[in-house]
Order: sequence, then structure tokens, then C-alpha cells
Amino acid sequence: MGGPSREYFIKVGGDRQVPAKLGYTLLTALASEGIFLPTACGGRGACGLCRLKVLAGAGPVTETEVARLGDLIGAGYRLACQIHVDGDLVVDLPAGVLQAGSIKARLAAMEVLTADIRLFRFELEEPPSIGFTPGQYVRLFCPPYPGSPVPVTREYSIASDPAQPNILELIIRRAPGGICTRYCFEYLKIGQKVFMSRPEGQFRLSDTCAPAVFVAGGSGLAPLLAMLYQLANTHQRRPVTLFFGARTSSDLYLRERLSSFDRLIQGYRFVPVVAQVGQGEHWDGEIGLVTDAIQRAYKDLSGHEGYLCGPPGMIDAAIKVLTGLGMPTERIYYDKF
Amino acid sequence: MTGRYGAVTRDQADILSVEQAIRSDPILAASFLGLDERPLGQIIAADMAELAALGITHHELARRMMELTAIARQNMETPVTVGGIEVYCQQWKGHIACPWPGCGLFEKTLTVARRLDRDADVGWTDLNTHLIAWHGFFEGKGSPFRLEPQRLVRVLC
Repeated sequence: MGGPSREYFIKVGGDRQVPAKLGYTLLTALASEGIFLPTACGGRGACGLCRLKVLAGAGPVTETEVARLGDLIGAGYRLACQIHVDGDLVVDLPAGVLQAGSIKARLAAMEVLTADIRLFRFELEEPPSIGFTPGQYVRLFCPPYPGSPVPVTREYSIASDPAQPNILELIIRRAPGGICTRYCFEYLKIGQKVFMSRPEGQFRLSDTCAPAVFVAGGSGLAPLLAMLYQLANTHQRRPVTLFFGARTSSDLYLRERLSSFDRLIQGYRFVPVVAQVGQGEHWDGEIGLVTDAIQRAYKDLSGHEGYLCGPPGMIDAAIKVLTGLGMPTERIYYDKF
Repeated sequence: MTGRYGAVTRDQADILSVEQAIRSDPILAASFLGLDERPLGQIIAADMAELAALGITHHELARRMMELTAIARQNMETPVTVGGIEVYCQQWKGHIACPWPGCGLFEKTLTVARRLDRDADVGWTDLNTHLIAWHGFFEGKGSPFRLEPQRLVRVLC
């Protein structure tokens, strides 16, 4: 399929310039060259995080930029997601963006976890290894493909063991109509190269030894899995109970791996929870919503910390239950989708 | 534009500027307009007319969608039956922005509703609900996210 083909150049500082295709936004053009500007809205002009100074070549200021940037426009700031490349550009990138660099990796393996969730295992090529804090995410660059004429980036939490610095594992749930998930599920092949941002994000384990309640739903298990590896690797004496909720037992993945942490983390308990049990199915885990299981398990959580990752509905309900059991809100950490 | 059916009220310049923004971005164009080459105002007006013929307003329809999404969210991903409709929702990381300036971001939540006595189903996102409620926009023909008014009415009403 033919996408934009005419190329221009973006001067990004010093002598460095990168190519940019006609019609790409400045945000995607830079991401195509491994320069990842911050964004929380995926380039829809809603978060304002991709602002940068454009010294030459940008077109007229859009209404969206006026709404987001206000007086900053007078100082030369623009939103990279709102500028469509139709000529050469000169930009002044925010501090640290060029130095942050990106990751080039190769898809080494792909594991089907459920009907719509897969684990993608990437081996790093450049740099060959990287450190990350469990809880962090990367932005995966999805190049143009028959499902999308222009590239996009999407955030996925890292699920892998930080002790394997040459590996990054992402757990991805297919979204209907999703550009990046369709690319990953239908077009990304073993051995293929991908680009992604360096690890980002503030979701992480605190440095206390407080007992913790982990609550995961769907692909939200990913960052909590990386945290479990961290606890196992550092031999912390920190009791952790993982509540992993799903609709049916076939939606609960990696159960053996999750159970195996009881040999590695002292005080670890894995509580699988399903909402529905099939007729004649043997199920000896919890039944109901994940929040029901938490309420059945505890009377007082005032000395605990909570780590939550999953759909907003689950996070909101879990926060209500945890605070109702006495957990202080400032000790509840979450990565809400 | 002032809608003939009294519900969609905004000026033509607003519609034109939103349409221009959508068509200038290949992803937005494919997502919101699909293969529809009609002007945005015409797409909205045609769907408003179809709804009027079905005897319901876009506000009423959107309110029903919001009610069902709220029930589905409470039960997370577990289907629940309410008034002969089985409903559940699924959520993904990230947000989607409304193409109308100033409307903000919407969670990537998909609500799926199945009318049990008619064996008909339909799915919508939080952004779909907002677009219908605030802008009378069901998205263009050929968009993967378009909701056919008739199908929505068949399942929800």
C-alpha cells in the first residue's frame, strides 16, 4: 500500500538532521527516527506533552494548539502532534530527548496466552542490554502497514525479569480496531526488528518492607509480574499477595509461573479469581469479582501497600475496597489504563 | 449548523474546521470517516434524520448507552443481564481524543450489549457515546467504529 513518500528533513540540533515523510506529523516523523517525545494521548492534541520549539518550517498554529499552549505559542512552542510535515523543519528538542535515545530490538518469541492476549519477547540489539525499574513501560513504534498509512506509538508495560537486561517482554491484549495491536498480532513476525522508547514511568515498588497487595486484571498483570521478579531477585522479606482476576479460567494466563513465586518470595500468595465457572469445570480458586476476593481475605489493611494495574473500572473498585479496609490512599500505587 | 431536528446545534464553521482537521490526518480520517466522502455536516444530518424516523433522539440513545456502560463497568468484564440485555465491557491502556476541540480524552472502553430476545448485538466505545451525545456523530460509513443508528436502536430500545 502506498503511504506518504516525499521526504523532507528535520534539523534536530547541532548538525543532526533526520528525514521526515510528507504527511507524517512531526511527532511520528521523529518517532520514526527513534526520537520519542513525551505524549500521553497518543498524538491527539489532548495532553500537550509533545510541545517543543519549532524554529522554522511549521505551518499555521491550529486551534488545538491555541487551546493547549496559550501564551507559549508566542515563545515559539508548538505541539509536535499537530504539525504535519510538508517541508523542511528546524526544531529545538526538549532537554534529554535526544540523549534518551531509543531501543532497537528483535521479536524473538511470541506466546499465545489467551484468545486475545499474547506475550511478545524481544531481544535487544541496540543497546544490547538495558536497565529498567519494574513498573515502567515502553512506547512501541508501529510502522506504516496496510492497517495504517502512518506510524503510531503505543505504551506497553514491561513484564520481564529485570535480571535479564537483554530481554524485554510485553503482554499485549488485542483491541478491536486497534492500530498497534493489529500490527503486533497480524503483521509482526519472529525475527522482525522493532523500535521502542527507553523505559519510562513512575509506577514502581516503594522501598519499604510493608506487606503488599497486588491486584491485576487482563494485560495489567505485566508490571506486577516484573515487580514479582524484582522481589524474587532481591530476596526481600516482604509478604505479597497477588489477586489476579478474570472472567473465566481460560482468561487467567501464566498461572504456573505466578504460582512458582511462592518458592522464591517469602510470604507470597497467589489468588486467582474468576467471575464465572463453567458447568462441570473444576475450579478451586476464588469466584466472583477480584474486589470480592480481597474483601473475603482481609479485615484490616491499614499496614499494607496496594499495587494495582488493569482496567479503570477495576482500579476504581479496588481503591474503594482497599481504602474501606483501612489502607491509606497514599499507599495505593496504580497504573490505570 | 442548526439541526432540523433541534438536537445538534453548532455553527457551520465549527463543523468545517473539525472536518478539515480530521481529513488532514490519515489515521483520524480512516477512524472517524472511513470511506465516507460526504461532508461531515451531511453525515450527521443523515443520521439525525434516520433517528427521527426511528422515533428517538441521539440524546436518549446516548443516555441508554451511558447507563449500560456504567452497569458493565461495575461488573468489570463479567457479563450482566439487565432488562433483557446482556452487557459487559473491556478496557485497554490509553485514551482517545474527541476530534472536536476542547472535548478532551476518553478511556479506551468497549461496551458490548446483546439483546437476548433478538439475538442482536452491538459494541461501542466511550468516545462513541460522547460523539453521539454531544455532536450527533455516529462516524462515517466504512469507519471501523461507525455505529448504525438502526442497529443501536434494535439492540437498546
